Amino acid sequence: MADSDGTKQSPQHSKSSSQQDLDKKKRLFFKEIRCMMYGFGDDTNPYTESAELIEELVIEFITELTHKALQIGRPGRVQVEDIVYLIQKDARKYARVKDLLTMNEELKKARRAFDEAKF
Amino acid sequence: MAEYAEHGDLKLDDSDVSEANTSKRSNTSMHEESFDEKPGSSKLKRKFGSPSGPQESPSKGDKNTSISSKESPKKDPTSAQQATADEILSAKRKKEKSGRVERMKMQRLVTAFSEDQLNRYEMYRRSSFPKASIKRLMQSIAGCTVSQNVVIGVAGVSKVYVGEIMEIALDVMEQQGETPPVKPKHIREAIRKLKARRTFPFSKLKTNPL
Repeated sequence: MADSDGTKQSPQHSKSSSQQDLDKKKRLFFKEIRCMMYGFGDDTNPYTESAELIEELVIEFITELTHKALQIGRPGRVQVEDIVYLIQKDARKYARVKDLLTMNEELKKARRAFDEAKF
Repeated sequence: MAEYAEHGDLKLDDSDVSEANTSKRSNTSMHEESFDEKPGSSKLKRKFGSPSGPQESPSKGDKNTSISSKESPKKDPTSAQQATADEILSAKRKKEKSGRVERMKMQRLVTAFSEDQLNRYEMYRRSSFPKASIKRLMQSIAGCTVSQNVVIGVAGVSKVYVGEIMEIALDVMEQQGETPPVKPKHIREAIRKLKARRTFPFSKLKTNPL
């Protein structure tokens, strides 16, 4: 992969500028992605290139999701309903979002009740 | 369980573990108290039980009243309503029961894990995208503030996304007969397969220019 020998020199002709920017930029989700890959079945030490590729894919996914959410529903804002609408075709993701949000609501309710019960 | 011990390969998408995993993805099983993400919330979960926990006692109470109302002759005009209410309650009870059965199954499974498998399972449950980074990323893209719920939803969906990629990439790797650390070519093949599925969001994006 191009990243392996990019540290010493700066071959501007061989790499595109976006690739150079990515090299200089710190990876957003470095450790988390590696943990996730291991959890989902990869080796204890996943390849760095694979992790970087997955990070790019995730960032692309989130970017597309955000762009689309900006257009639908209330334009210019990203709301939960937009996310749910965009995801609804994919059964797994849809179920996960629903579960996460209901769980969050229940936790909030529980915490409020717990705090009130403290007295 | 002996299969897993001698197999040595810790792919959690074999047979019934994959079932457990897919069921995990569809029902959030917050009963695994040892692997909770936040220590504070785990106390709450123990106190209040699983999500269906608090609902159990009121439903049992309703069960008694509903049985007694059903047995009495149809005096009041709302008996039809109560009949449908009973159906709803019985459906709810069935769901809770199946949820409980699921949880028990998961617990039995987890107690049978070897140490390696436990490690991997812990990583699977605990790994998540940092909400702060996702919020920052989305706000820089959207140009407006995003609410907390949106961040929670997007973080969860992204994790499922990574899981789907990894699952298919591991299958591809196995088909090609190679060894564990997944290589980028497997990931790219996985993405290609994912995009070919019609249920994948944004599959229309990278249409080939005909």
